[in-house]
Amino acid sequence: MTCTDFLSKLTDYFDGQISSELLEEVRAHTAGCRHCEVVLSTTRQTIQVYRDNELYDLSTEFQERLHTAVMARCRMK
Amino acid sequence: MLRAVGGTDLPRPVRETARVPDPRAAAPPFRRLPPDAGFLAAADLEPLRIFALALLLVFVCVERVLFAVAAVPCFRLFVCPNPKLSDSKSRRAAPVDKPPIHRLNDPFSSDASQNLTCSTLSLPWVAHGRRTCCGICSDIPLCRSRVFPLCIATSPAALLRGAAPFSMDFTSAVWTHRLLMAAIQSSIAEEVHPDIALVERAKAGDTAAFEQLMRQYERQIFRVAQHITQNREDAEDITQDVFLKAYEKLEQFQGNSKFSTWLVRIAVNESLMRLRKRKTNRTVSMDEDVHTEDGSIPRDFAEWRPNPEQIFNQGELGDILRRTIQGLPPGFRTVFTLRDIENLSTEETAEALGLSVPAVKSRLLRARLQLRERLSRYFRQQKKETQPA
Ligand SMILES: [Zn+2]
Repeated sequence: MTCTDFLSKLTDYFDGQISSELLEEVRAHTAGCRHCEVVLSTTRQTIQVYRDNELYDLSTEFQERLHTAVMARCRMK
Repeated sequence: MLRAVGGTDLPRPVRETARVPDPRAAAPPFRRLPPDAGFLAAADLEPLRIFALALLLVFVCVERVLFAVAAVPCFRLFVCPNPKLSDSKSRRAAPVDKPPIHRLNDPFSSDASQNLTCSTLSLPWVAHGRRTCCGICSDIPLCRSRVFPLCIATSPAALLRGAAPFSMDFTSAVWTHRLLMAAIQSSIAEEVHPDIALVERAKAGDTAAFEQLMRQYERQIFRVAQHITQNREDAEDITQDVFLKAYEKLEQFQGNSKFSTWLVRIAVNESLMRLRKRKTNRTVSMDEDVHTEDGSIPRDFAEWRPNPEQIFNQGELGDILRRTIQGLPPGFRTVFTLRDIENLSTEETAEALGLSVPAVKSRLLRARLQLRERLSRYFRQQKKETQPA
């Protein structure tokens, strides 16, 4: 497995949609290739850090406004 | 069928000796039946049922003969008493190929007068001409009335077109339905999302059900809108528009996808429209900038600290993450948001964005790699600053 092959399998690897043989190949490659090992671990952390930190949330003020507006329209219908 | 139970060696309990007159026994307050003992289910009704079936057979034979000989739609003799179904005017008005779909009462629910959905599956009952079925057991024709024991599936017009005549005694239909339901309920139960019931209620005019759906998904819709537009006011407007549109077009939601995916799809379209409006001089689409190779080949190979949260305070980290994702082209940002932040599956993301699955996968890979590259600058830099060599 080359570094390009490794990159092309990265999405399937993170999604768990990878056959056990390919998984072995990916592991064998990262064990021998420092660069791909770093790419793998830092990409995993990239996904994780975005999952762990909610960047945007609606304000309670807007939430109230939203419910009033939408419910008023629903009752009109 | 009754089975003799006298073959065992066990002595029978002698009930006669312990007989004490029960004052309640003389006048029971009401007759209690097991929930599934519908009409004609008790064994003592068996002869009556056989008689009814024989009568039915004669009826059907006479009707078929008359129909075959004289081509008279004697069928009307057997018309179900449900006015909606037997109203010849409305039936004639509707084309045969596209039967009108009415919501009907569930003939098996205890309060058939109020119930709009199948009691087993919470699905609406649908009438196709003479057939009344729940969405799942659509092969079984059912007469809506408990009184009338006959349901004939094929209309005279369909018979003339060569369809097979089909008749079924109502009791058999009930039991076939129940057996079928019991068999498929276990597999269906997990698949029918609780949202479906809420959507059905909302469709029937229950605004509280719609408000509950709104509560469930308003945050997600807001996040998606803000990630795409990168503007709070736009995201708020879009969130409101999404729910107004969703309520307006609720009838169009058929339950083929998750309700949340359907909402996300509306949100994505609204957000892209908003982006286009804002940048009037150029078009904004899902395809913008995605052909660039920038960032798809990793260049930064420095390892980060395991937890960036430990180096930065929450506010700083949030700023870095927001700034970093803002720098991605909208086409990548949107895929990353739906797939990795909102946790949609690849297929759901593809559906919400109108992209193919391979396109989603390829964009996701490049979005992840670009984000990784950009974050590496911050986190590696910070590492150098905190650990001066
Ligand atoms: Zn490599």
